[in-house]
Amino acid sequence: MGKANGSSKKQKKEPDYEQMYKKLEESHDIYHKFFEEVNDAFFVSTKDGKLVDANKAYCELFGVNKEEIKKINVIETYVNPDDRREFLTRVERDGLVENYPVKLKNVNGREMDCRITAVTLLNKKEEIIGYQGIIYDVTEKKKLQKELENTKNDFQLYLNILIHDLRNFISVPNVYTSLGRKMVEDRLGVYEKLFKSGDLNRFYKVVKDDLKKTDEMLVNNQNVIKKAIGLIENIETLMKSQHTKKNFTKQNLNEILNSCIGWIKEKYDSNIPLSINYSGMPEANIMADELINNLFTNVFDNAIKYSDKKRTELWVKIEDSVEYWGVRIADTGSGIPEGQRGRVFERYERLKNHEVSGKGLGGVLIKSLAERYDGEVTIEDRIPGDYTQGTCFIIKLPKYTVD
Amino acid sequence: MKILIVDDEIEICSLFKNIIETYGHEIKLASNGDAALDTYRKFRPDLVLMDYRMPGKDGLKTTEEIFNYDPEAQILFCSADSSVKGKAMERGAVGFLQKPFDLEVLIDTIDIYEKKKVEVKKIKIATV
Repeated sequence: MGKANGSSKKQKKEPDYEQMYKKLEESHDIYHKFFEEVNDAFFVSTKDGKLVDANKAYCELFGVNKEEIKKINVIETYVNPDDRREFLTRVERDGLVENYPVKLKNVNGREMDCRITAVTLLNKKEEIIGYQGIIYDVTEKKKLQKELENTKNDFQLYLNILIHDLRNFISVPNVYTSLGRKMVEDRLGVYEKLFKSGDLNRFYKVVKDDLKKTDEMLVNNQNVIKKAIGLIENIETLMKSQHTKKNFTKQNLNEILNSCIGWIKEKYDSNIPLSINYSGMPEANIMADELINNLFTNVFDNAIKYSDKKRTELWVKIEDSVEYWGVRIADTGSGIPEGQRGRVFERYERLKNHEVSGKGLGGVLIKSLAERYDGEVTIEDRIPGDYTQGTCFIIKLPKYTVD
Repeated sequence: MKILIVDDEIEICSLFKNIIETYGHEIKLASNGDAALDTYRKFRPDLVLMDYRMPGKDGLKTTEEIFNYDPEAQILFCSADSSVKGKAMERGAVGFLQKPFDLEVLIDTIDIYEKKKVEVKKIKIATV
C-alpha cells in the first residue's frame, strides 16, 4: 500500500516565528532583569572605552545616574592608565580575562580596589568592537584581609616574645630547684656530723650560710616570677589595646588620674619613698574604656623604675590644650637624651625583628594605648635643656565633645 | 678557668655566677655588647657565655667584635631563641646552650670546656 499523498519525504514544518520571537523576548527580559538587579557591576563598552550600557550596581559603584553612563569613558575610571593598557592586551590576546586586579576611581575620586572579569565583543568579521564584563569592588575585603594579616603578625610577635622570655625566666627556678634539692641531699649528712661533734658554733655558722644562700636563690626565683607575671600582663594589655573593640564612654580624666595615683602609691610607697604632686582639672572629660588606667600606671611605673631609688618625686598635671587634654608626668629619673627618645616607642619595630626581648614593652605599650584613644605621647626634659634632671611624658588625649 | 657572662637579665647573670663560682671558676659579668668587649679586653677569659637578645648590640654582633679582637676566643652561645643557633655556629661559636637548661647540663658544659682548655694547653706545650 502506498503512503498517503504518495510522498515518502517528511513535510518541512514552517518555523513558528511568533513563538520564537516571544521566547527571545522572554529570554532578553530575563537577561536584562538579571543584568539590572545583580549586585555586581556589569558593563558593556566600545573598544575606545565609551560606555554602551551599565547596570544599577555599576552606577552605584561609580556614583553616576543611569542617564549619565553614555557620557562616561571607562578610561577615566582607571587610577593608573597603564593598568587599562595591560588589561586590554590580555583580554584581546585571550578573549577572556578573569579577576584582573586594578585600582579604579568613582566620580568623586574615591579609589577602589577592584577585580575585572571581561570578554571581548566581536562583529561578524570576528573583529573586536568592545568589551563586556563584571567589576567586583574588593576594597573592603582587601582592608579586612590586611587587618587579619596584621592581627596574625601581632599575635605571632607576642607569642614569640612570650616563648623567648618565659624560657629565659624559667632557667632560674629550674636550676635553683635542682640545686636546692641537691643541697638538701648533701647538707643533711654535714649537719648531722657537725651536730654530733658538739661544735654548735660551727654548726650554726654552716646552717646560717646555707640559709643565706637558699634565701638568695628564693629571692632570684621570686624576681623572675614577678618579671614573668609582668610580661604576661603587658602582653595581655598590648593585645587588648590593639585588638579589642572600642566601646568608649565619657570618663573623667581627673578621677582616672586620682585612682591611678592611689594605685601606684599603694604599690610602691612601702618600698620607695614616693611623693606625687598632682594638679588636676575637674572638668577634663575624655572618651575611653577601662584600659586608660593602664596607660597612666605604665607611665608611672616607667618613671619610678628609672628614678633614684632613695627618693622618687613625680609631678602630674592636666593642661588645657584646645582640642586636647594634655597630661604632663614629670620625674626625677636619670633622663633620656634627646636622640634616644624616639627609641622608647620605636622598639616595636625592633621587637618585630626579634632584636630585643619583652623588656622593651613599656614604651610600646604607652604608645599603643595612647593611639587607642586617638591620642599621642611625646617626651621632653623635665627641666628644658638638661635631660639629666628627669623626663616629662606628655600624653595628649582628645577632649570629650557632645558630638 | 676565667669565664665572662654576657646577659642583660640580672637574675640569669646571678644564676651563672652562683653555680659556676662554686666550681672554682673566676667570673666577670657584662649586661650588654659594649661592656662585654670592654671586659673581654681587660679580663681575657677562657670562655664567654653569650646571650643573643640584648639591648643595643645583640649577641651575634658582639661575637663578631670579640673575634675581631681575638680570633681565638671561645664563645658559647646561651639563648632562649633556638633559631639563632645556626647563625651563632656560622660566626664561630664553639657551642649552643638552649635556655631553659638543667643544672647538670650547665655543669657538664662548663666541664667540657675546662677539659678542652687543658687539652689545648697540653698541645701548645707539646708544640713548643
